[in-house]
Amino acid sequence: MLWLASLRNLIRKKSRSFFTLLAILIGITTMFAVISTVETAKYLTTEQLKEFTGNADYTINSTSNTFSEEILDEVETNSDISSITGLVHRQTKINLDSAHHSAESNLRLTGLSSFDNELLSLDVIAGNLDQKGIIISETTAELWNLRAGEILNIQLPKGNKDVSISAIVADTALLEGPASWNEASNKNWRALTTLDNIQELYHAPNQIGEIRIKFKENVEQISSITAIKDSLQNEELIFQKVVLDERQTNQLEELYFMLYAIGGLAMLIGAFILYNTLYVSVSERKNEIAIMKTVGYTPNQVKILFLMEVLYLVIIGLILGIPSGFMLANLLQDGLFGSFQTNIEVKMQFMYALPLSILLGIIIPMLASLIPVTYASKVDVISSLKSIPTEKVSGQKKRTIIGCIVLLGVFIPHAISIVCLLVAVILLYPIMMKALTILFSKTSFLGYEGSIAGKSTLLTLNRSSNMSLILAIAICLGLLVSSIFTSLEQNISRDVIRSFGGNIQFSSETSISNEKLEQISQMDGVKDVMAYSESQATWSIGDENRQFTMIEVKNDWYSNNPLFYANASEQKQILDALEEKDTILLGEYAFREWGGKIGDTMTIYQNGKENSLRVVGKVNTTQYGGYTAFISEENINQLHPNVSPSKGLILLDEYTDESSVKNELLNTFPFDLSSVQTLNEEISKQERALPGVKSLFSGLLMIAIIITGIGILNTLTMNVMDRVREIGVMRAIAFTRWQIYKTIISEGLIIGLNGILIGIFLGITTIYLNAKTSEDILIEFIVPLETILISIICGLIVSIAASVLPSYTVNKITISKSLKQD
Amino acid sequence: MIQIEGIKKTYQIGKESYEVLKGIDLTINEGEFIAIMGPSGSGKSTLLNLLGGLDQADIGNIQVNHAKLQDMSEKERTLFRRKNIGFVFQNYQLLPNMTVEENIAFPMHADRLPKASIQTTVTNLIQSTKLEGKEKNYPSQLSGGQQQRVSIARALSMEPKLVLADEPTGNLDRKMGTEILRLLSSLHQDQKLTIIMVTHDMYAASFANRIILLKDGMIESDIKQAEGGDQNAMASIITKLNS
Ligand SMILES: Nc1ncnc2c1ncn2[C@@H]1O[C@H](COP(=O)(O)OP(=O)(O)OP(=O)(O)O)[C@@H](O)[C@H]1O
Ligand SMILES: [Mg+2]
Repeated sequence: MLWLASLRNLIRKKSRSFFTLLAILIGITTMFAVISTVETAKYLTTEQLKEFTGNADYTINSTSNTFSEEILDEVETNSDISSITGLVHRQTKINLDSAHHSAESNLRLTGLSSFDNELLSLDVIAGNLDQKGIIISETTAELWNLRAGEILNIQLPKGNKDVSISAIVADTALLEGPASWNEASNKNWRALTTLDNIQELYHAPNQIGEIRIKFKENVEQISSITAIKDSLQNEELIFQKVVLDERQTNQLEELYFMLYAIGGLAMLIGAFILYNTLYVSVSERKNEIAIMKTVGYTPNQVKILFLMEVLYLVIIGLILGIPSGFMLANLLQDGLFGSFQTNIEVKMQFMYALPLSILLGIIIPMLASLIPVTYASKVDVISSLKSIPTEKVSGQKKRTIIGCIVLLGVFIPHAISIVCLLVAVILLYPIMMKALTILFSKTSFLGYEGSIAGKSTLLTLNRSSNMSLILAIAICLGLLVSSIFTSLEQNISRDVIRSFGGNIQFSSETSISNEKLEQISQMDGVKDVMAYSESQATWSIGDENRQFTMIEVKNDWYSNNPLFYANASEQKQILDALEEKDTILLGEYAFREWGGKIGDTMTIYQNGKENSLRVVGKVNTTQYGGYTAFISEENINQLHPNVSPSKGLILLDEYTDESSVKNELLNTFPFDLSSVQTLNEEISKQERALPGVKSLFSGLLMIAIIITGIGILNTLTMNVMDRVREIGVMRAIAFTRWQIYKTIISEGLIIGLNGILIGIFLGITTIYLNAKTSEDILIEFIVPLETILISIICGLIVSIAASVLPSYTVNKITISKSLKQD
Repeated sequence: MIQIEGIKKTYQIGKESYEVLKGIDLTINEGEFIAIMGPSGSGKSTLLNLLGGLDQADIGNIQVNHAKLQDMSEKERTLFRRKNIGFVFQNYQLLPNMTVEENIAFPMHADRLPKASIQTTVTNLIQSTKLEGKEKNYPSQLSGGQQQRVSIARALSMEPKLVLADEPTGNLDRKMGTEILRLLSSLHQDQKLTIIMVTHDMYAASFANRIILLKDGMIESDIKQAEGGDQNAMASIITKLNS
């Protein structure tokens, strides 16, 4: 019958149970949503990579961009291979009325030697893969307003030509084009066709650009690829292991961390509220527990009684929280992946999110209830009747001393100082809150009612300070996130300009020859032009392989227009060091992942060879999202002789219009250039991604603040319910209802103001420490005044709103009834 | 000073309704010291609460100082109580987190009186209730009699004309109870306060000059006794109480 007794207890304290449930529910909801969002993001990026590399194990490229198809035929004979595809990319322009501008009509055609293998999974919606036309994605077909079998006119080196749409397939990474016409000016349209088709259309018989290989299972891949390499005996070929590391192309780690932090905060607040409620429940029911024990309940049965209550709340919380978690996750993921401009179908992932949030949703509340429940089971039968539950102040001194010692940790010049600060503030919170509350009472700006509220707050300091602390942490987190975003926003254009390498970047499907460079430099407004190569290299960290893009550095160009930035003082030094033999410069992100020190050597695998390169520094770049490295022309030649350049940088004369040069480039080389990006386009592109992510975080922080509100409400309800009789006396002899409202709202305000003030202090200090210790020089010490204002307003609104209900509840009890309470 | 006409009060417990006061008519003059007696559950506290405006009657009129309690808004009643009525309770009902001083000053602070005048009043009341030296004590640090004196001092702080006391000696032993009764009695005599006191105790009632006996929600008897106590009247009350 224990379960019945527990249920009755819950029903008896309806509003308390309700708000505790609400807190658990929101905790579970948020937790599920963030875990699922991170999971989905990881899945998406991996999936995207996989689709992009077509599940291949190895790729073969050539230093001169294209090579003979005969190599494909030769490799194909290897019996270890289960699938193989040869492919080549070419540029063209579409002739469609919907394209208003020639920049919107760039199409990247990919020719494939075979459609029918496991390296490619196309989900045909209409038409047939076998026919001799082009294959486009669903989104593209919609934007072009073309159906399977219809005709598209494209521009080719020998004039325009009609091609038919042979098939429309579901969106996939390989065919990811613009999601709207707007996007089309910055992004190529994509289409697939057969290799033969491309070779014919572009008069490039036998040419391919890449081979992708998938080996049979249980094949020793390294020896197979070495065998292939030896049999081909071709110095130009680059054999590259495909490394699927979603971090390589996406620096999402920080985003994930923030998401987890907010989800964790939500669950923690829920648990805190539960702890508070149970603690008071136990204190209130001491007599009851004592009676139960005298009639023969064992301590364990008492424990079970309370744990059952928690379990009921948790089960209801889970039943309601998981579906609402799904809804929130959907909302989050729409927001998040919307701002990332992917048009791959977003399928919500919850393989880990579901069991994990169920598990944590049970474990965390159970842990939170452990202390009060144990306390309940230990209630002493004899002494329980006399003592009124008073907050224990014991251990406060020890706590303060430890807090002060930990606080010294803020002087450590490392990110650990932030942790020290946080721990110190948690430890010192009650004493800070006490001091501030006394200050509030002294200044008596909340009037007589405020001074009464101040006293009650001090009497329930532990309980109230827990909630106030959580508000402070939420505000601190909000300020930190906001400061980081403001910092990024303010710096992003500056840093793009610093590391864009000129005014225009372009990349070509074919090698950039000296004639082409000459042609470009003759264009109006072009001051200078430079071509460089990019190649992939594998390195390893532990057992895992990582891959990065090695960018060829030309010293004379970089001294004025680098593709990276470092501290101004170091820039020249780094470039000089890069000139030395066997050196490499790492991008910030690769450097961190690698984990070594400047001056250490790094082992890089290229074409099966091991190369030791000395790391001469780390730099930031806004141009490459993932792992990057910079290497001098000479050093790259050591790894790979004669890699032909496929990338270019253009410097314009002052006052030259970037877009007119871009158009001229595209018109001059319609079939070679796969992308042309101007500095201004890049700036606006990078800036565009921020507001979406920012509003996402604002939303999550709002949730955190709302839960904090529920927590304050819960705390105040308990504070008030403890004092029903007292409040009744006040009303009987002198206080009007309004004065009671004022008292309780003041109490909420005191909790809120403490949280706000300490939160702002904590926030600003955290921002400072983060800026000081952060490796990322994009992060600066910026005090987000606007967010501070918003936190103050939100904090005040939340704490006032949270106090309305408790004061209403207690005012509703008739005076004569409340005088009888004890 | 107080006119009560046809008061009825019914409590609802679940589906059953229970008529506690079944029609009370009563007139109380200024300066009277009244003891309300009667068996447990006869409605004494209920009547006192109605007089003090802590609760509202279902039917009937209550006039205190020509003010009709039943016509007042909740707020008006609170302000009326604050300014005109002092309450003394059986279990003192002191605010546990306030010191003696603060408890006494509470109604005056609620009324936003100037701090200086609050301080003088508190000092005077501490003197007259013999609480010197206990100003900074908390209620839990006082004896029952001391607590009740604080409660009386608090009841007097707004200088009311009427004091309502529900079993003020109920929790006290004879010695402390007598102290409290003497205090009330002297207030009645020196300051011409009207005091209405609910009590079970004949000894306590003997300090009053009028005894009203309630039984089953009706006034059973209403006896004025001369100063010092009328033995015949007392005897008749005792018989009635025992019957
Ligand atoms: N709020 C209430 N709800 C329901 N019934 C009530 C309420 N208050 C009092 N009663 C009932 O009304 C009756 C009279 O109560 P009251 O407190 O006036 O009695 P009393 O004469 O003061 O008794 P005692 O001498 O024991 O204090 C009692 O039977 C009591 O149960
Ligand atoms: Mg009574």
